Amino acid sequence: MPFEAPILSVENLTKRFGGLIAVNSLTFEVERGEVLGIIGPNGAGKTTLTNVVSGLYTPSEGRIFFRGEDVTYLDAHQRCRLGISRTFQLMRPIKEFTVLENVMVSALFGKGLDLKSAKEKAREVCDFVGLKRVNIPVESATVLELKKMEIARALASDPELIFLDEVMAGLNVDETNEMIETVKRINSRGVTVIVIEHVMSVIKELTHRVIVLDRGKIIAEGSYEKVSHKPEVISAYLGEEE
Amino acid sequence: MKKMGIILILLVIVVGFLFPFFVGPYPLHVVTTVLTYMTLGLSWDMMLRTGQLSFGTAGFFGLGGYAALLTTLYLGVNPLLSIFIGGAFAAIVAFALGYAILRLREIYFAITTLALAGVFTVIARNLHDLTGGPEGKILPSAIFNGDPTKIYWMMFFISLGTILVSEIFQRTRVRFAITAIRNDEITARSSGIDIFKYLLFVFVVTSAIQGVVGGAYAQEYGFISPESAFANSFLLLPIAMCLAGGIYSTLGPVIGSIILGVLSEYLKLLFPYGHLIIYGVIIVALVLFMPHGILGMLKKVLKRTRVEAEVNENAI
Ligand SMILES: Nc1ncnc2c1ncn2[C@@H]1O[C@H](COP(=O)(O)OP(=O)(O)OP(=O)(O)O)[C@@H](O)[C@H]1O
Ligand SMILES: [Mg+2]
Repeated sequence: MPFEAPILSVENLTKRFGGLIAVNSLTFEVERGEVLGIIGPNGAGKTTLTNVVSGLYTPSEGRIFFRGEDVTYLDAHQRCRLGISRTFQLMRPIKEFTVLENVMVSALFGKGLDLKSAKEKAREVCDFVGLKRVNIPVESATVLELKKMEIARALASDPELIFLDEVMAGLNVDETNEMIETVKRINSRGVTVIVIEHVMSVIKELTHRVIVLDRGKIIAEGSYEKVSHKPEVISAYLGEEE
Repeated sequence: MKKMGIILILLVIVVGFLFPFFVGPYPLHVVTTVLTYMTLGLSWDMMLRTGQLSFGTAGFFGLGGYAALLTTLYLGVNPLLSIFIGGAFAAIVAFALGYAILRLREIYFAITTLALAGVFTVIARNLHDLTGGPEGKILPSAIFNGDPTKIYWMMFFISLGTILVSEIFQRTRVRFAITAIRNDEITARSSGIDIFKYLLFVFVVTSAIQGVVGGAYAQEYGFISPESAFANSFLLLPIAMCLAGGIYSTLGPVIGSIILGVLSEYLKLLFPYGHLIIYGVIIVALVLFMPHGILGMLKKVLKRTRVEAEVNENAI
């Protein structure tokens, strides 16, 4: 069998903000087609890792390979076009646009479609994530609709790898279950998914493998069952909650 | 509805074209001036749509003016053709400078564009042999021998072209790119938009427009000097007109320039001394009390009536 490079591979990735080391020399790989969970207490560096890999921040040290290609110094728009997508934990819709127009943006520029095909593509992904009211301004969208819009925007560029940064936070049980189904369907479209989530039942349900971060470092890695019983993981979480 | 719009546009074009046959030379001159400011306002607004506040309008206007007038003077270039040389020259300079300054944002970008315009003025004043220094240069004759009708047509077609460019910005993927950039650069980048490319593109296009208008203006008078070419009024009046009419659209700057342009002429007639003070007060009042411009206010009123109509429908 020919060697296939992992879809994502990071080596010694470090991101500092002044004296603070938000991401501390991380090395890991993501296999094509898997659902990887990233968990860890608040401030562990999950969002920062997403920002560095998606190209919003340049790393302080280390390298990032996407499909074997070095993308460390590419800008976010180039990585989006290559196939790395992400949602924002703190949602950042374009307020002047309707829901559909927000989604169209990444179909237009991430995938490079013309206006007409971008509109079709946007409708298709909105439909896929269960967004019904697409012609409303974002200010009249509900939180659930905005979360779906975030995912739809991330999908409209046809990514191969997608980061979902706490898309279930703030949703009720029914809404969370709907989202879990959506994530499974995204994965079965062939998209590699990295889910960042605080709710353990979601991680358990969705992921093939979990990476646990604490203060910018990987403290455990493996299946949910294996990781959730590790004492250092339990103490990292207990240390936070109490 | 769409057909009506097209008919209306054609009507405006025909009336605009035939305008010189209805009015005397003075009103025609006023309208020519209004059109000059309209194109400058539109070009400023197009850049603003990317979120970048430029104070370089008068600078590129003046560069275009010098390029046009001097190529006619020294190289005997046809005056009409020289106007496009003015546009091309402004575009080339904008391209080169844009590479350096379009990494800047907000007030830093605004101040830098203002400073560059100042540098252009100093250069024009000091390159004595080429530009004639502070006294400037005069052509033996103005374009079209100063025929006001032809000069009006020249500005009319430049304005139509600018309106067309502005509408292309509003109706193509360019609108999606620059609106996204203006609202949130992080979302824009993450959605695949090459921000720098679009900023450079818009900066070059709008500077080219300013250069063309500057070239036309210089040829209209057959004269150029640092004071006339880089005058502050070519920076401030277009901005005031856009703010009055409504920013981020084609119609806003068009309405604003017509209203403020005609108003300023009228005030000049009424109060030969002190008209600028009244004019200033009116601009401040418009900006304070109509933050979204005249167009924004009209839209709001229209929206309210529409919502009321919908509510009534639902009640039935
Ligand atoms: N732009 C920034 N400038 C300075 N410090 C930052 C910046 N972004 C993040 N940090 C810091 O880096 C650390 C990691 O933050 P990050 O947002 O990545 O954590 P997280 O794991 O996503 O947390 P949460 O679960 O609360 O979302 C925190 O201490 C945070 O304050
Ligand atoms: Mg986070």
